[in-house]
Amino acid sequence: MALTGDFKETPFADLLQLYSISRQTVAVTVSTSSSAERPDGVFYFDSGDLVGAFLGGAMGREAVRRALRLRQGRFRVDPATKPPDTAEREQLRHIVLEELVKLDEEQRAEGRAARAASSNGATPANGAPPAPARAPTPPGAMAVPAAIAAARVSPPPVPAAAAVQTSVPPARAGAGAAGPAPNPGRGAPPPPPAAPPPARGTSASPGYGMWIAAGAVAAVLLGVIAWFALAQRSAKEPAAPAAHAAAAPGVRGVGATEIALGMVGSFSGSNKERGRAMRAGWETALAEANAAGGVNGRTLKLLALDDGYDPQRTAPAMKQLVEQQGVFAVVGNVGTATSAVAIPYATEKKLVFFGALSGADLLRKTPPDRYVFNFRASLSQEGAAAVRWLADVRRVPPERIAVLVQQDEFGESGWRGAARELEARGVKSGSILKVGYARNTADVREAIDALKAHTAAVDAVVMVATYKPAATFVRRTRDAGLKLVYACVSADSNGLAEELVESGVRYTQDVTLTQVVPVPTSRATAVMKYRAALERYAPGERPGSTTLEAWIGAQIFLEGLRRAGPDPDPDKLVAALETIRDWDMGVGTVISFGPQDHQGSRKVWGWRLQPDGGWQQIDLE
Amino acid sequence: MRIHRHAAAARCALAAAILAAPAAGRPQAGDAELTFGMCAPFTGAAKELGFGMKTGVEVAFAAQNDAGGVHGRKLRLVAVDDGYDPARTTVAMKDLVEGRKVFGLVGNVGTPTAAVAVPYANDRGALFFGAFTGASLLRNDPPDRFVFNFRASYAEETAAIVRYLVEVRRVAPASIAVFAQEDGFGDSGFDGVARAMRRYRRDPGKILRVGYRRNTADVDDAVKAIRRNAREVRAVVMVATYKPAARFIERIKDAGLDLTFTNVSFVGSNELGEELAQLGPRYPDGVMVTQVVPNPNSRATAIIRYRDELKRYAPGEKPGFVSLEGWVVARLLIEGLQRAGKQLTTDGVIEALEALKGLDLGIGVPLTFGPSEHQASHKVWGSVMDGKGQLSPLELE
Repeated sequence: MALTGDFKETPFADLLQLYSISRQTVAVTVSTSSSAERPDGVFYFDSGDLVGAFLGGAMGREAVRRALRLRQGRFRVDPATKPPDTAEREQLRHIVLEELVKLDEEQRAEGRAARAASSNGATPANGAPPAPARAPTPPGAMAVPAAIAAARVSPPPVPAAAAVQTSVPPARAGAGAAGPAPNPGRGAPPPPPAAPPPARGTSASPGYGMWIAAGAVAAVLLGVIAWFALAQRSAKEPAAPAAHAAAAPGVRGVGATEIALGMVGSFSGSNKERGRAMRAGWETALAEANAAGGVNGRTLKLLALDDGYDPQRTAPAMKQLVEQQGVFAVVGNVGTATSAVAIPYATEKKLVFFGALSGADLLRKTPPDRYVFNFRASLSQEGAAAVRWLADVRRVPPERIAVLVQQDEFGESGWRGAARELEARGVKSGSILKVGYARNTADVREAIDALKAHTAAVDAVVMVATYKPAATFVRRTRDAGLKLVYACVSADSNGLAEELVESGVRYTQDVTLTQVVPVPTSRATAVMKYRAALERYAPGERPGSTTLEAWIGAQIFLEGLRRAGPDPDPDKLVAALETIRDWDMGVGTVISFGPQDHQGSRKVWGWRLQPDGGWQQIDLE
Repeated sequence: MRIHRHAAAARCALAAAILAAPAAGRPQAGDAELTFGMCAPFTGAAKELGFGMKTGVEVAFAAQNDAGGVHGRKLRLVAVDDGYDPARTTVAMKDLVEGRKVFGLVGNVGTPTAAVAVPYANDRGALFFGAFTGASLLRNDPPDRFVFNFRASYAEETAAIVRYLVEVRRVAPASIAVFAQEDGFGDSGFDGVARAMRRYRRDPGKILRVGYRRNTADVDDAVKAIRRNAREVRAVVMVATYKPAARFIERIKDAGLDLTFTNVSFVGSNELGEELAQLGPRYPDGVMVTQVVPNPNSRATAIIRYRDELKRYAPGEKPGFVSLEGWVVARLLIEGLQRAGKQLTTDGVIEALEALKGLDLGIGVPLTFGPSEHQASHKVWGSVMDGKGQLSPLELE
């Protein structure tokens, strides 16, 4: 039974403390709900230690830093998830401490007035250890360094009691109010509070006020900091330097006759068709290349692991690919929230992260992440193209266009492009009807209820959704008698078509897709070659958007690998990919990379669903 | 060096993969001769267009043959009449590809006929080069492997003329009507108008569109509709062949309306000029035509060469826009054939064509093909008639 919460009620600092105290092994998944500042991420705790931190494309310190400042957004805690066995455990301990201190300093600067105003009379709202009934010590400059110093200098695995007693007092003396009662007998923190962090809301300083006796904002943080000095120490152990010993000779993943590539995809769950198709497309392309002798004398193999479109499972899968399977690069991963976790890891491991099935902005930074390369146009370019088509070609009044989004970074990326175009057409940013659903569900009831409330005002919907919720949304709105034009952003064409055609012909009308590839029935050179390869290496596989996107991505990757020469390594591959300029394989657009540009194509095509489940290309402009 | 080798290897692999597809019935080059086919109207209302294209291609072929041909092979053109009737195009294409085993098609004329010919050529893996049509069905995105165009599209032509009318002639977008053939040809031209109108924030659904049926010159309804809206309409963008176009202009002028008329290249400018001039000088005067080649009386390098060759190999034939287009199309094809090497295959020619970058024949625009770009030129020229139906250049920008 997963625990869920909101950062409005429970700041990340509280979560850190809670799991540190309770020594639980959990994964905390962060998801956005409706705004761009709320990124996706996952935090792993192993026996109370933070062992993995991923947020919005950042990992480690940056992820912790941002998480501590999240004021809104939902999280879910799953106790049973196996955390990735990352080597950063030791670093993270310091990072958490330092970041808590920084946050404390910031908040003290901001919150002096609040602190002065807050009363001393508040009491803990739950079963947290009672705080000493004394006036808060002004959280002095001395106290904090003492806490950190305690953590830093304390010797590795010492039977805790002594160390705690020598190192902790200065910290607690400074932090005073927030620290739980010492438990010298255990040398470890007391048992966890009976319930997750306390309810708040009545405090003058909404984050922290009520929960400490002294009511001082800073004091709570110092308490947390002190906790960390205490609680993490017993787990401290010498860093294990031998993590990569196995990969010592040569380049990881590059054998004498073979190069191993990895993929983490959704091969189960509600988005499994996409993962399956992505894998089929890449395997087809690699089989084709192998049949032609491979690349520079080596054949290619693909190791694909399932993460079920669940970011919590992405990090362990990535780790397994790199540390156990020893792959050279990761290609064709599926999903945005999962990429948020995979990219920082790939970057740290110098692993080229190529052609993920995600158009999200977090894969498209300026300047681009060194190891992250995309083939496809971005989701915001697709969202913008969908609005342009609806407004300019279909002549839907811009103020009558609503947007359905998956509530995470995937949805937000598409939303940004759609909203920008709508605003450019005079719609006020606050007045766009935006409805949503949660990732990995097809529960669009709330979205439809919201839409029904505005039914007289909506003629078209831009959908930034995966194929199952998209199909459900089309079915339900049609059943409810709403007459809408649908423009869905890059959903799997076969999955969407099958869902709708099965439901009946009337569900197929006015359903359009933006896609980053041309229709698979095209007579263009590259698409003909793709169909021939699919027929040969994946017989029975019906041509569709996802396999085509995968196959095209693979062609570009293979070209980069060819150019990287006979002894490729990740940095040579990056350099080689960056030499690809105006590369034209006959797909309707040239592919260009460069040191400042890691997105190969910006092109968006329009597809319209036919009653028989086929797709016809339409002109978006 | 390595990069080139790899690229070459990739291309070979690609060619091999595509060759491995339906190889049966694939056209092959003969030893002494290389035959191309052409389906075009040599009878009916659009026959001048067919004859113009045929003349242009034949002249260029003849000149090339006198200069030794292509890698020792003489070029030959077999032209078959389809009367601008798609039902006859199928038969004609089959006759050329299966009966006469032509290497490819060059300079076919017309959009409704291409709607039949293009799928057939694609299916047979036959090169379909330089058709005399700017319709979008020959301009898929990405482009069909076997279909190559020289000329700008109708949408590019009509968009250019709408820009000219609005920005240079200061005609309000709401005062522009469209007279278009009721088929894919008319639709392609209308698309360009609609696209240009969107730029001026005008709803394309509000554009007054009138028309006529293909292979007729029945313009009564169209004229009536324009007269009903005489107060708003100031200019008509025409997407028509020369006979109905001439009839339409005649009837509107006879009704006393002072409108600006513009036509797309397919109209056949010289034929339209002659038709209108016969009616009297006030009919052709000021009628505009967009062109996808420069004026055939230009003194540009390529155009001088075109006129010289025309004089030599088609004596008595007057220089014209259509035969110039046919000649340019053939020159471009010959460039591709020469670069494809002695072992001619369709895939080899396609690769050679796709490698043409910035080829400057001296016609005023460099020509570029690529795997994702099968239209060599995007340039649109303007021309305007005098009282004798003679065309002179018109600056569109």
